[in-house]
Amino acid sequence: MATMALTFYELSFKTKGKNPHLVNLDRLEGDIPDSFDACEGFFKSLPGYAEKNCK
Amino acid sequence: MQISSSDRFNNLFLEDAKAAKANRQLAGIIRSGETGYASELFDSETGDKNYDRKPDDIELMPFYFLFDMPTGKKTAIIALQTFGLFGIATKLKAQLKKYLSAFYPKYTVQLRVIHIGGLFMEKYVNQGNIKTIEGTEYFQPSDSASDSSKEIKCTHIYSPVKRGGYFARGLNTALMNYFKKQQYDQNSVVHSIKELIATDLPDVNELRFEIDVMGTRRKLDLSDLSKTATRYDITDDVSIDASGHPRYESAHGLAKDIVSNDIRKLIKV
Repeated sequence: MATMALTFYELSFKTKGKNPHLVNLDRLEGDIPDSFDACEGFFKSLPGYAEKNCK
Repeated sequence: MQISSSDRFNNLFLEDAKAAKANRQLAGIIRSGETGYASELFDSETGDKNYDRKPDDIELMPFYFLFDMPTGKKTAIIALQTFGLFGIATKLKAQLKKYLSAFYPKYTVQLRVIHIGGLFMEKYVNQGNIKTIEGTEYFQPSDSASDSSKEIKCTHIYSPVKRGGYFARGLNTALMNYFKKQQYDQNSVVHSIKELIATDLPDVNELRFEIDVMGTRRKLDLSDLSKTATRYDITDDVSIDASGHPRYESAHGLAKDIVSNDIRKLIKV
């Protein structure tokens, strides 16, 4: 049997410019201030997405 | 499902996604595979050849994923499943980063693997049992007739006499003391090991421990902890369906537990 594993990554948003700093995931400047919604949009953009599966 | 040419290029297909807005977690199954090579597929029981895989074929395998993005936090934690040598990390990271960067041009989108830090290391050693100690040394051949440009690699592996057993608890305690002090001086650790197991362990260039942590075996490289990724072997813990892949609910339960019990303690922002 193949080995199954979980590997963990971190996603963050850092301001550009002289004093870069991390910004809260739900307080970004942009059309979608909450990156949770943006990530959900990313998955919906992938082929094979079925609306019925999104609860 | 019909796959378009552009989809083939992107090579990530969403099978299922569940968005739990209350606790701000996205989880699901992505299918992905490689194309561009031929192979032969045999029945592992009868030995009969079943199929000639063509270079245009894509074998779409399912991979579990979890995004944990709590309110008020600056860092989202992402769990991605691997199956043997296969995974979706490279493709997903590239596509997600491109997608988010387009949404948020004012920010630099950072997406990187989480490495084991001092806190994590301490937990491993504290909860773990050391199964083997592996020291590797590299040296130049002393024979002048040899090709002096090549190094010789010599690995020394020490394990308890009892098969499958662990070293005495004292070794864990000694290692814990080093980690608590945040001093990862390999020479000091080697000296301590020599005293504890009374061995003639040479001056090694690399030192690894195989540790059993709650039933999961980990190989930890003490010479460069920063390169050790937070990778959890779930083979023995996850429930498998008839296809030989993890059941979603089982993988999801394990991933959520690891995030809340381990990773969030490591990533506090």
